Amino acid sequence: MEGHIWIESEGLGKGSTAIFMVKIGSIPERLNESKLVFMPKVPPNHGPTAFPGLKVLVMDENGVSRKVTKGHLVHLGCDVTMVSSSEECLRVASNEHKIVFMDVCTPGMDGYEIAICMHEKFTKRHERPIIVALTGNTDKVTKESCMRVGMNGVILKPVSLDKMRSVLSDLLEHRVLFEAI
Amino acid sequence: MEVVQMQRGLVDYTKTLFMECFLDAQFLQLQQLQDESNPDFVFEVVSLFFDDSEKLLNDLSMALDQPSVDFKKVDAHVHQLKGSSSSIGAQRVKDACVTFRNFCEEQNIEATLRCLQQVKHEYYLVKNKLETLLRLEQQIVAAGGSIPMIEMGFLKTINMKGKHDSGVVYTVETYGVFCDSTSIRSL
Repeated sequence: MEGHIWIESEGLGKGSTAIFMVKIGSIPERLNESKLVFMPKVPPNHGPTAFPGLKVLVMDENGVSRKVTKGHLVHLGCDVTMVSSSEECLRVASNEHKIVFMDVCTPGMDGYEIAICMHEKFTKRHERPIIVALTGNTDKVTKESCMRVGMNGVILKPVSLDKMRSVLSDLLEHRVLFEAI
Repeated sequence: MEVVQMQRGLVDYTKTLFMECFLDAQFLQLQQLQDESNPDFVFEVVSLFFDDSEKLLNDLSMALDQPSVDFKKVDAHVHQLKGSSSSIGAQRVKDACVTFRNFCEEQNIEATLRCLQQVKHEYYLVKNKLETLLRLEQQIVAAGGSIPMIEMGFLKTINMKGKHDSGVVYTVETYGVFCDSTSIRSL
């Protein structure tokens, strides 16, 4: 294809970007879309690469998905508590938990209601954990519903390790993270 | 068989699984999460996936076998299966679940029964592949070798970085850790 390819990397363990230039006949329309939007890459010298002892609560009804989310967070040094229902989530959540990740795409489980209850449980803002929705739904309705019930953020599943790292970093810095949907 | 040969065999086998879409990038994420403090992570997640999926497939068979099918229940089960398969990167299973859910919405019994067969088919295929993969890994570890990390280029997002003299520049996100530079030429 008369092109060439090179690799850029910020260093060992920081991933790499492969860049290639090739001659293509015509560019199909749909290539101009980005179907999956990733958060912009966080430069390595801004923000931590691990979050030792960060207390996080994860609510997800799906066992496999829960284990994978936990895997990501533990790998980043977090102290993770897992729950599988909204009642458990409300019971277990404390002001020690800095972030609560909630899976909201389970039909029948009202993640939105929990967010409202969390606001009632933790009336003082500085005591309230950062509440983030984890969803596989890439529609505006989901995002708007999350914003309406006072969630601090929405993240699209599935999540990569790099993405989780930058999500945690952004949340701790800004307390808000609504991914472009 | 030498460890190096086994490692090469594992890399080739894994690459075909990606090329045939049995697995997607999310599976590589699992491998990245495996370390000294979590040495069996992949095995544990995959085993959990097997247990969960088999239960869900049973529940689905029963739900679709009822004289009056509760499509909400069926949809809920498929949703779970879609979630788990997506979390471990079982792409074909996930795709089959998406189709399945569409027919659930239409409340089409014949089509949903066909979808169930399709999902089962894809599940048993990927189960077989994953078991083979894990066995190959175990053999390497037992022989004193380490499991090679695979790097793959995935055209997951295509971003136009800008125009260049000879055309348009695209960036491709890659996953995994580079183990040797020659493999990028095989993409």
